[in-house]
Amino acid sequence: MSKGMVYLQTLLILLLTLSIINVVYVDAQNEYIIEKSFYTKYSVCHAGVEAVINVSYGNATILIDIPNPPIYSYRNVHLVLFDHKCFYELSQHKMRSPIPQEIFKEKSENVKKRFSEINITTDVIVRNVVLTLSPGPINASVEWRYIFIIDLSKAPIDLIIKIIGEEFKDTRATIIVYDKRLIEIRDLYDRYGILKIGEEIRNIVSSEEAQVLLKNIITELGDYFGFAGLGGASSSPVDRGWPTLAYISVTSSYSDVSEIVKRFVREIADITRRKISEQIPLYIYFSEYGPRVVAIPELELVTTQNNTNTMIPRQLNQTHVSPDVYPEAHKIFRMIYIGSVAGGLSLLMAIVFHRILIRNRYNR
Amino acid sequence: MAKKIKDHRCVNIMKIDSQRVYILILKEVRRSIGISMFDLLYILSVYCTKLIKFINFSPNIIRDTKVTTSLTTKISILFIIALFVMTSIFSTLFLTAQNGVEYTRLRYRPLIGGIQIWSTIRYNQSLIVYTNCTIGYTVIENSTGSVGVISAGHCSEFLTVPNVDTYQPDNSLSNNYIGGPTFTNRSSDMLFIPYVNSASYILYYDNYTGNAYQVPVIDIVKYNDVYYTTNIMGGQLPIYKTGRTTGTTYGSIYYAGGYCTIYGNLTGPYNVSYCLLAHLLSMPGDSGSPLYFEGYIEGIGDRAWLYGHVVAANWTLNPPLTIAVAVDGVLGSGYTPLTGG
Repeated sequence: MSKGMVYLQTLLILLLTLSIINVVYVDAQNEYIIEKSFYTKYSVCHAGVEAVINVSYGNATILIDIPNPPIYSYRNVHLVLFDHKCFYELSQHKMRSPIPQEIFKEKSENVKKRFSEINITTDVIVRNVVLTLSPGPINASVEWRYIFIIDLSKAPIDLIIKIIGEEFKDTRATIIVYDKRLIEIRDLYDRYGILKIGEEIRNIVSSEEAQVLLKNIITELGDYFGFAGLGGASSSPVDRGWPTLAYISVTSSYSDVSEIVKRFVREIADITRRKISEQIPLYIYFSEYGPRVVAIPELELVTTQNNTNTMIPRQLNQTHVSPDVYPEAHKIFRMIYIGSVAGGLSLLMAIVFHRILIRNRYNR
Repeated sequence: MAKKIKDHRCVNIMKIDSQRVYILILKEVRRSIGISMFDLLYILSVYCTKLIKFINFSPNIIRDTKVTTSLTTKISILFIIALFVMTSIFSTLFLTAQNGVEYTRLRYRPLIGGIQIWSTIRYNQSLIVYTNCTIGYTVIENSTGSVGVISAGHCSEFLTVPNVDTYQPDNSLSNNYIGGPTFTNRSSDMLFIPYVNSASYILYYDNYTGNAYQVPVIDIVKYNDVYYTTNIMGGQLPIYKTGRTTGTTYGSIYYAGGYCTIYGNLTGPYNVSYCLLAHLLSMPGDSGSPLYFEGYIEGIGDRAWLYGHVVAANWTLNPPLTIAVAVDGVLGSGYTPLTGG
């Protein structure tokens, strides 16, 4: 076998190895993310009205649902953070409840007993929650969720996690701890009439005054503008959804736009409080570094001047698949990029070495 | 010497052939994956050519013709194989995995929801705009009884005939002409194109079977139903969308907004009502796409429940975000979606 052939075969093997290593490397990175979830971790998701602390304790998952601390409040209208990404991830989180109800009851009794020892009162409910729903012949995906209701303003969260976690760590259940303060907000809405609130908010935001506010916010935010909406309802990643007064998303941080947003909150609150009593808390969702939402025609401009056409492509380059939205494609892209570059470099090096060898042979 | 010339000729012929193959492959790759990857491939091919030239004309190596020819041939073969592999990977990835995009760009008569339309918009003598969008669904105009289709109003920049000409799927044939919008409305971001030969079906691509179906619309789901489900029941409604750029994609509605502000490239910002926010992929060209749920009813078959039409999106996010206008917006403008297939 000639030396050249050996080089080429070596290069081919090297190229393939590099490509495989790259794929393994990317997979290993994903593996690491999965691996991390086995360890106990605390992460807080600001999901509008509620903030969800997601804890893995042994095999069990504990979701602690507390009222999201507002970043600004005016006349009982609260500006609360809404994290688009973690909201989605929590919503996709499949609630696991494989343990039989009897075992759950036994374990929850133990938990309640331990709580009572430290003067924490607990209610336990087993709720039938709709995960997904389709219209027509109702096709609902329903699941039982075990929910502890605790006044978390008076109880240390760490201790609660520890007590529940130790009891349930061997199960693969998802346990929800619901703050009593959220139940109180729900009770207020239910007493007022949840549909009535929705209807009244809709009437308020339909007014000319509110519509002008909505138009103004886009101008005032300028480049920071991402998305703005008035009225409506948001679903919850954990339980029932919430009526909302407005939704603002900016492409920057809150500190960059705080004055504009605060003014908007005050103005919309003043309009709203003419109709809805100040006793009813209302919420405005706010997303930092949020989505900039644009109309999506695929368009190109054609200017006709003096019988000559100049085509200025505008969005056509954006129509191709973005690696962000197809992670698998992104992985293959990387594999080919790195593989090709590595292969090319190896080839170059091999040829240079080969050339030196030949030169040495002729010089001899 | 004779051997050397012969060998070089062989290499040159091979080089020309391989260049032809490159061009053909690169054209295909460019068509399927876009300009950025094309540029990379171009750089690689230039690099390969330079490498071959380096071997062929290097004064030291040229003395050993056998080695030169062998190396040049093998490098070229290696690169051609690499290009073939890359092309096949990208073709597989982008031509078959694009959620049935290819079906949305075919010619359909009668017109149905989820297929491509091409419009020429004449602002004045000096400005013409071409847009690619998607048909939403079939409606009837309450005041006149005309049957036609709706799409996003910004697809015609809210202009109507005679300033707008619309074709399905594009203007490559004169008989693809379907007229133009006779009505547009900003608050529901809609346009109406009267076209008698329209049917209340939606194009649906099944990712599991790899087949496209024309699914009859059985019913509409109004904003209040979505609001109620989102608010009271806490459920996130699963939905599909079929558009000319991203094909049939799946997601869920997480927010029902009374009003929202859309930012148009040419039109600037405008307020629309009955907004539905969904975790769903849409990209430029998907404007107007029908938002629906597709389900199978035992003994009847596949049916679609219509929610509205897509108007805006942010596709760089993870998860991507899509905004649609609920059917209420179209109903409020004096148009009733046709149901029943």
